[in-house]
Amino acid sequence: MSEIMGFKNAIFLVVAYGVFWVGTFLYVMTMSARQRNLEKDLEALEELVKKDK
Amino acid sequence: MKDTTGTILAVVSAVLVATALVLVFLWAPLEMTMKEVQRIFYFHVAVDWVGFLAFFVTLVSSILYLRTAARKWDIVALSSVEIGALFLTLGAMTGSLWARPVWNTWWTWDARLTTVAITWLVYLAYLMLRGAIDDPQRQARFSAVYGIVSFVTVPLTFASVFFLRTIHPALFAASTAAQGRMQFDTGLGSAKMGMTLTFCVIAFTVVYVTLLRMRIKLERTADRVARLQQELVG
Repeated sequence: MSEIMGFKNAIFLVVAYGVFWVGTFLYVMTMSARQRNLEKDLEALEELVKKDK
Repeated sequence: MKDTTGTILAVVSAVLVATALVLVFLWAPLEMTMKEVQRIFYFHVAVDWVGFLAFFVTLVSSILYLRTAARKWDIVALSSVEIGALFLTLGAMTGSLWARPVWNTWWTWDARLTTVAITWLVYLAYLMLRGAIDDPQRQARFSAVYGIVSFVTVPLTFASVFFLRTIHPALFAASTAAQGRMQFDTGLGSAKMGMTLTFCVIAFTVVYVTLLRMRIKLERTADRVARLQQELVG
């Protein structure tokens, strides 16, 4: 009985660590995507400024 | 341009978190009452620690912004609030997943949990209210004042386990010894547990620094884009 309970509770452990990894991964991925997009915008704008001058 | 410091920090963070996982699952002893599910505790405490550290960094940056009016401090404060809010959310979720098998409930309006919920809402409001102000200087000034005032919730959350009735375990609870002296009890049954927790806290602090650096870089790039856009329009 105790072993069954232990196994059942281990699911909470797996989900808790999963939640942490998914949350952190999504945040890092979102930041990286935003950074890439901004760098593309920056390059395009720098080109435009050069042409403007 | 290659960001060597950022790469080194990311690698160090990954190594530290991988080592923390090994310590949590292979080195720390099994807690006899809660069994395996107790291992949530190591990451839960470390994640909440980062949340509160982030809000402390926001407090300091906000004070520095009000003193110097330098945009860099506003960027640090904003970046730190965002990371703190994320980690406090993860802390609440991992805590809830720990509470379900141990307390037989996902959530209870206990003193510690309630004060954490208040802290979380207060800092979410920081992000929402900030977005509602258009003028950049007003936005930064308002955020700095809010960032200072809202820090009141952090010591309140810590103190809640000492002064209010709570079922949440106190990690560093003061107790009165038989001789009448005050002593601190970590509540951990084994030195290995204490060392594992300390390692997790250090590892997550490095993760926080890495994320903060990334977020600051993002905000600086956004500033450069905005400046160039203005230059072109003007």
